[in-house]
Amino acid sequence: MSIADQQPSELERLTKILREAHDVQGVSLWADAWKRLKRNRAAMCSLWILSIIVLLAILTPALPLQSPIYQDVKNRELLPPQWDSFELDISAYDEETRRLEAEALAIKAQDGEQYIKLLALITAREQTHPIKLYWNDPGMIVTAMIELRLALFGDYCIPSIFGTDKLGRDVFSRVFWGSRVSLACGFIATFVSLMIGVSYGAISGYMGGWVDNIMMRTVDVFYSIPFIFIVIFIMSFLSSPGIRESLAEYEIDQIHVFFLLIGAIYWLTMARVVRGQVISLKNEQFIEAARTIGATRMQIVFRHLVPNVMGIVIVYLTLTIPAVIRFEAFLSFLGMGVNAPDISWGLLVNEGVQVITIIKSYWWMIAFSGLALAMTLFALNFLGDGVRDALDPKLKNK
Amino acid sequence: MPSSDQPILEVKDLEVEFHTDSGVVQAVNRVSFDLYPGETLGIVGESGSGKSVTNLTMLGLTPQPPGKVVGGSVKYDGQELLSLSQKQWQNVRGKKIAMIFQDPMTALNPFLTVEEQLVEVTMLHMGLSRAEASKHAIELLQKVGIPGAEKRIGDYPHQFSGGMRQRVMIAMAISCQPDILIADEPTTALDVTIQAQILELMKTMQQEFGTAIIFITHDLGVVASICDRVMVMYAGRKVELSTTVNIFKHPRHPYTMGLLSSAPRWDQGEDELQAIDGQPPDLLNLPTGCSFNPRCQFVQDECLQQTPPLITLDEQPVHQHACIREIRYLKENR
Amino acid sequence: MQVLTFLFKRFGWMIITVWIVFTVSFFLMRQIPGGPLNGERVLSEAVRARLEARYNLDAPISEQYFTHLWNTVRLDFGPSFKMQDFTVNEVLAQGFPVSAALGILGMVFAITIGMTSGVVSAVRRNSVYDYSFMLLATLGIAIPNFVLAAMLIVIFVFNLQMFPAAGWGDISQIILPAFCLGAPFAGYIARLTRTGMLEVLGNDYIRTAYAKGLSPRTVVLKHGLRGALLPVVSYLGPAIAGILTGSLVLERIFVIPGMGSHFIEAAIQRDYTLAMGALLTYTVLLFVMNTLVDLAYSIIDPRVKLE
Repeated sequence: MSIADQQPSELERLTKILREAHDVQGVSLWADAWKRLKRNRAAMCSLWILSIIVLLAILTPALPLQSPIYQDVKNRELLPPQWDSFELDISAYDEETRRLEAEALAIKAQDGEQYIKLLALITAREQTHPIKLYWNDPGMIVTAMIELRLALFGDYCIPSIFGTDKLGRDVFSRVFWGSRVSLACGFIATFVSLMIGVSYGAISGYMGGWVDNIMMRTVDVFYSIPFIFIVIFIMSFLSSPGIRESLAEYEIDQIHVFFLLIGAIYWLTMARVVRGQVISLKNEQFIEAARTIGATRMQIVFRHLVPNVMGIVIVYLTLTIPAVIRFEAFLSFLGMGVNAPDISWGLLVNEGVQVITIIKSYWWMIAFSGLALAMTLFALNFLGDGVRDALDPKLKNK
Repeated sequence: MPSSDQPILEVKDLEVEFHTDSGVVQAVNRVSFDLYPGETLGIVGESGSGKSVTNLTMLGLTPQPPGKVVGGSVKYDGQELLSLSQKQWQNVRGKKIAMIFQDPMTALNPFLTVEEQLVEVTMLHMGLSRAEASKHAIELLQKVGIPGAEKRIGDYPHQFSGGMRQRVMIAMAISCQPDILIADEPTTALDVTIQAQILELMKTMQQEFGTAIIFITHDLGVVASICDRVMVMYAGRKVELSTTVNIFKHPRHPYTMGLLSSAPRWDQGEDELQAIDGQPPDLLNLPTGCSFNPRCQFVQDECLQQTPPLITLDEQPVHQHACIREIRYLKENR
Repeated sequence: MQVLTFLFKRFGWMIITVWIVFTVSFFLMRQIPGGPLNGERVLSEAVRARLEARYNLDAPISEQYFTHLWNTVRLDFGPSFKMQDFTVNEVLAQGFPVSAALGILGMVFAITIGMTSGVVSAVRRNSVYDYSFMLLATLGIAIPNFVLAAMLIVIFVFNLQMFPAAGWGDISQIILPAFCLGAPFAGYIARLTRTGMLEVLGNDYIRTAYAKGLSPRTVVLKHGLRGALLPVVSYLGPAIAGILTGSLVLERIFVIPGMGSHFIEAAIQRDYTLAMGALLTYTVLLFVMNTLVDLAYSIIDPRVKLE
């Protein structure tokens, strides 16, 4: 048998093996993880619930809710949950404005002085429009959404099905508006911690040597500092009269500093984890392999390192988001976080606790805000578990 | 070499299934064999061939779920093991049948001292006092060749090297002088030089105590050096069984032949070395007919249709195999 | 010897940490325009001068810093800003035992309940026990302790009238707060124990233990539990920090005169000396606890070396 005869069969054999190997090669990590996540009913259920909560929070201004800050102590103090209908008086107000406009138009030719007076009145009415009163001078987008809501639903409001608070404000709409701050805090602060943690960890891990040593020692020291107490300490400074004014001069709201502070204390673990991952990946064979086929440093970092760090980062995100939301609620509950007229769930629970008296418990003041908070955290936890299992199947069946 | 006519262990038509997320796997499919006192039986096969599961079943240690023994019998000294209660099992394990596992790095508890792990067996099965058990443990460690046994007995497993740990494992397994010792790839995780020492040690221990050994491995070199008889398994089935000499000289099953030609041997040139083509079988969807047919170089139409029965050749020593090609060859030459 | 070196090193790090915390909070305090006395009340010149002298605020800042530092080293936190008749040391000494009792009780509760249910869940995996324990654990983790406390007060204090609403001194007054304090950590510990136990039970050495003929009980408790303890022990560090924070809120809700309520009160009232004293105490406490946890870890796992 000559070599020439053997060659094709050998080639065939190798092609066959290659083809088989190609068929064996599986789906990508992410598709695989998503498939596993979809099978996890608790996690999918949580995902749906969270999507609905987030959607409702975003759409809150456009929903037919009562004003979250309009007070009516005389008639509506601490009403229990009820179905009595409630209407705004905005269309009447607008009607009146339009009437004045028509009147002004009618007398424009005859009485110039009266016309100017009326115009001034109309402008003044625009300035003091109930939107500003009922929704605390909202920004442009929120105003647009409220106008949309007025166009859609008119003066109709969902009744106070969650009752009202000590100042006669509607708890239902306060829970909705509170969700915006709580969730925003969860995402913004987590984003801050993500940015700090990932860059700190990546730099530390990638540089190695004494830089790494110093950076990690610093983290060690930070770990033993009770940051939560320091945040409380700092928040109490920020609320001191002198500081608050000078912050206002730079147009810095206390709430922004608050978001940043929370984010700034939750990056430590992230930094450690990312560093560990980067170090182990740096010496991994596939990075070595990428280097040998001439991949540039950027390619190595973005095509090989980052995707591999992503998994563990996401796992930690699922832990950080609920922790941050809980922490915001915790500080607001203590009166150290979000301040009136801003609303957050922690603040609402605090208001609920404060009206507990020996005689009456006013349960609705605690129950709904507490439930909203607990449900969100519960769903986040379940989703987090699911994501962790999906990304790290090794752990699941053990 | 069978030193007695009565087998100490009789396995008959053993069937074990694994119920996984993706379907049911026949991990062990009607496997039968006997083990005689004092002999060493090798069980050879790739990972996933069912050799480890077979032996875990003999200790009632099939992971349940997902594993499930669905049929067959395992008789130890005439007594059925598969119907034992949890309590009765505890009297067999470690006392009558002991096991040595593949990786000495993970098979010893890292949180307990070697002494603690040694004495708990003898205190339990032999009713020794703590002091007696300690003394016994030191003797055992000396016997398996651990220098400075009196001192080292208080150490933790991580303070020993791999080979030393496997010696500790052996000491632990033989501490109650069991009738049967199941060794699941006890040398795979070790260096070659250490491997030889461990094998030597096992042989010595076998001679001293007359223990029957089941030696699970995929290393034919190890088989040749220690086993009296060999059983070859493929995809949960027994495909060939005979004495070691017979198997090496006259392999009947194409898989055994493949194994032999893929193992490096000192008496053959390097160019003879050949891998078995194809992938190890996917137990979830085995091919119809003979499980080995996609990789068999002698494959014929019949092999694709019927599962070959086990044939016992009428010769001394006994030779069993499961290959149609061989059957027809025999029929044609009768 | 190894332990001593370890403790010595740790002590060094603790000094550095405390010093950093001290310095940062000292300069934050001095950042306030007009100084810490710039409260709501308008003080007369004479009063202000007298107070500044009392709190050593009239000295140059560097001198203030070193005087304050030296006093802190001698564990003298000075007089309280708002509670004029007390020194910070007195306030802390009075609040600390209360908080400690509450914290220890909460922790003991969390560990016993958490570990028991975790082990049961792991051993009886996928059973009704497992599912219900893990659901409860997730609930415990998800619900913030102040929400839990508020709800329990509404139920047990007002509707069932089983416990008094607030206060300190009686055993019935400590049950609800300790439960609320421990609940989230019980949940975490239960889940950690379960995962740890399942991981350990999948180890080869557990199979070895079974192959020796040990009873399932011995295998789980003697061979399994130690390994399963490790993640729990390493969680104890953060848990202790969490217990400290948790007691902040619960002491406030249940009106318990502990260190936490003093700290919050100090922060709200801007009683800086008291807040700083409490902050430094918390820092030291956290450090000591973490060191103890590391020691415990090395005792449980012989492979771990202290460094």
